Amino acid sequence: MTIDDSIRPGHIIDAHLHVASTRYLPTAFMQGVVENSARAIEARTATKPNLKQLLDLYLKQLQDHDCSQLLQQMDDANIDQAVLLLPDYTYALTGSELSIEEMFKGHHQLLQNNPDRFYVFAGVDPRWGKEGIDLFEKGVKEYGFKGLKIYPPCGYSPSDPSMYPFYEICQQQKIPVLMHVGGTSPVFELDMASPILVDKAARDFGDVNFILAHGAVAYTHECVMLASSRANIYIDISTYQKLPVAHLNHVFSKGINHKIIFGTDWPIFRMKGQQKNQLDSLFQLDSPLHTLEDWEVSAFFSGTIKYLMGVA
Amino acid sequence: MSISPELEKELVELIWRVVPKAYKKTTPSPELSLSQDLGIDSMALVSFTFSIEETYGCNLIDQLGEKIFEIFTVGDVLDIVGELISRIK
Repeated sequence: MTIDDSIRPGHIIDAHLHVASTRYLPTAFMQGVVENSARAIEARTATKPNLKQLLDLYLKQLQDHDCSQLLQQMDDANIDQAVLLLPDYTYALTGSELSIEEMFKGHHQLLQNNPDRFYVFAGVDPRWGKEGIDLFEKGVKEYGFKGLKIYPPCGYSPSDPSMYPFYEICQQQKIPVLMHVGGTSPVFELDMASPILVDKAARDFGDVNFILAHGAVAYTHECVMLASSRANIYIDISTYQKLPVAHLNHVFSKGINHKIIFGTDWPIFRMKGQQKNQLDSLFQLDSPLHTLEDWEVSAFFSGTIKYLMGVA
Repeated sequence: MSISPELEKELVELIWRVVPKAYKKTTPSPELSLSQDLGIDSMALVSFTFSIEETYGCNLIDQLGEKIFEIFTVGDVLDIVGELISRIK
């Protein structure tokens, strides 16, 4: 792999990652992933893998409770800051170590411990009702969270009226919504994975910005169409590691370069390489980043997400 | 600790079993990245882990601990996995 990182900007924010900790991900989520993996491995090796062993392998990647490993990897990659995303799976799935309230507190602590390195986007399943809305408001006003993270495959539409109180808080506080798009653990409802579902909410809340997570990789045409047509819709490139980097040409040639945001989705691709390797892969010679203007590179790596969060 | 040429050959063969067709003709070399130079995806890496366990009767996940997340190149496989197998063989 030949790298040319002469275009590397001065400041980099990884705008899509998670705390690699079992405290924030229910075992049921990983069990679904394991079942899918087991089938793929069986097809490749003609041997049925031990499901418990496979689950252990995945869970072993989720023991960085205080983010020390993440911070080390960010340092090695010269990634200055990161946005920690906390979706709420606790309503849809059983087996969470913590309640969503405790998860908020845990992320607040991480933010307090590393105020110059992290931002937090967090969400609450709308079916928790008013308590959930209050918790989100507390997260923003008291804990300093900078965005709402929503996960519609948990079983709700992003345009469901029950989401609107959350968007009203985002509107008042001038912070963005980041929404999961596309495939996920098979324990979820994939009919809620489509980006088109956000369109009504994006129309009703024209002054709230929506980021379609994985939009450069999943439902790419729909995501590009939404980002091209709606002023308040953006996309991130997280999970780009699944495909050759040249695939990103699809999104970087559509006149929406000011709306594309860098993110790695740590720790999902941990087995494929360090954060440094994941970042370096974007500087390969066939990467579309080499065709961008300096300001576009800068916007991609930090400018756009800073603009959306309202930070200097 | 260096490993025997036989074990090195066996490990390289096991790696090449999960290398996609388009990369099969790549000449093995320690500095090659498993994912970026050899096109091995996450699922193939997990398959590789299990094939090592099956072939040598070890439990890489338990026995390597956090070190399993330091395996990114052919050389890492030879050094880290090779050393473990040499010890238990």
